Amino acid sequence: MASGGSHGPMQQFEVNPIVALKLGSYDISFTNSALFMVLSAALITVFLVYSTRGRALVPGRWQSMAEMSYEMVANLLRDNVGSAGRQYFPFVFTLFMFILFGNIIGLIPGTFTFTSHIAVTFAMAIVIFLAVTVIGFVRHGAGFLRLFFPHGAPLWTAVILIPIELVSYLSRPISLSVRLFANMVVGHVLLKVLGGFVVMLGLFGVFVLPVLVSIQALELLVGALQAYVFTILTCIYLHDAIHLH
Amino acid sequence: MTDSFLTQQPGNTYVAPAFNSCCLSHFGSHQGAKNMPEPEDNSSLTDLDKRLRAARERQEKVNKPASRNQAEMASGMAVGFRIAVEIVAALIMGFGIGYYLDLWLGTKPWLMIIFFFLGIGAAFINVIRVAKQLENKKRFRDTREDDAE
Repeated sequence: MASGGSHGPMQQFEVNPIVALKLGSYDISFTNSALFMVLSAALITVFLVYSTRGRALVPGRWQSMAEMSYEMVANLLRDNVGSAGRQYFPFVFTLFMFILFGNIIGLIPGTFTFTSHIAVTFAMAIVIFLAVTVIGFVRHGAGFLRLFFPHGAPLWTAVILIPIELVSYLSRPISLSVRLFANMVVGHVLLKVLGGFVVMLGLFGVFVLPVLVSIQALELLVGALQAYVFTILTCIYLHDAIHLH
Repeated sequence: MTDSFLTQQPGNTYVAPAFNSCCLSHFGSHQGAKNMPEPEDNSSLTDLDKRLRAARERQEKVNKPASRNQAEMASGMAVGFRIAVEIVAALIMGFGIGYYLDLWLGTKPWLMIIFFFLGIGAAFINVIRVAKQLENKKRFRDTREDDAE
C-alpha cells in the first residue's frame, strides 16, 4: 500500500477510497478522510445532544463541557466581533467543534486526521474568505473597498497601499489553511518518527517513550490551540467585514 | 425523555450538607467521597471556606508547573508559527498573482517582480497586525488579572 513498500511516517496521510463512487468524470469516492469527517460530525452531535439532555441547573461533568465550549466560542465572538456577530454564531461554533474534534480524534492511534490535508483546510478557509467578502459587500456596498485604504493616509500613497492591502487580503485564505494543515502534519510526522525510534531501539526504546508521551500531550494542546486560532481569525475577519477596521 | 429528566433530578440538584446524612445517605457513598470529613464534624461555613481555600491552593501547587509550562510552550510555538505562516502566505500570494498576470498579459518578468515586492509589503503589514492583536490581547488579559487579584 505504502509507496516504496515501507511504512514511512507519511503513510498515515494517505487517502484511500472505502466505497468507490464516480459522478461523470469526477471521483467522489467515500474515503477514509470522509469517514472521519462524518465520524467527528456524528460525535459532536452525540456529545452535545447527550450532554445537554438533562438540562440541569447545576451542570454535571458532560454538561459543563458542552457549556464551556459554547461559552468559549460565544465570548470569542462577542469580544472580537461585537453584538453584530451573534447571527454568525452557529457557523463559527460548528467550525470550531469540527476542527477541534478532527484534531483530537486524529491523535488516537490508527485514525485519520482530516485536518492534516490542505484540501480540507483550504476548502474551509476559502468558504470563510468568500463568505466574509460577501458579508462585507452586502453590509457596506462599495464602501467595503475602504478596507483597502487606511483612513487618513495621503491620497498619493494609494498607488502603493491599495495593491499591498489587496495582496494582504488575498493571502488570508492561504495563511489560514496552511497554518492548521502544517501544524497537524508536523505533529503527526513527529509522533510517527519518534514512535519508530521506540520500536527500532528495542529495549532502549523505553527511554524514548516518555518523550513520546509528552509530545502526545503537547499535540493535544496544539490541536486545541489551532482550532482556537482558526476560530479567532475567522472572528477577526468577520470583524473587519462588519466594522471596516 | 421527561421520565429520565424527572428521575435524574435528585442527583443533579444541590442538596445542603445538613440533609446529606439523613435523607440521602446513599448519595454520599456512590459519589465516592472517601477522605471528605463528615459534615457533622464542622458545620461552620467559615471553617469550610478556609479548608476549601487551603485544598485549592494545594491542588494548584501540584497542577500548575508542568501543565503551565507545556501550555506556554504550545502557545509560544503557535505565535511563532502564526507569524511565519503570515509572511510566507503573503509572499506566495504576491508572487502567484504576478506570475499568473504575466502569463495572461504576456509581460513576462515585470509584474512578477512588482508583485513580489508588494507581497513583501503585505507580509510586513500582516506581521504588524498579528503583533498588534497579540499585544491587545495581552493587555486585556493583564488588566483582567489585576482586577481579579
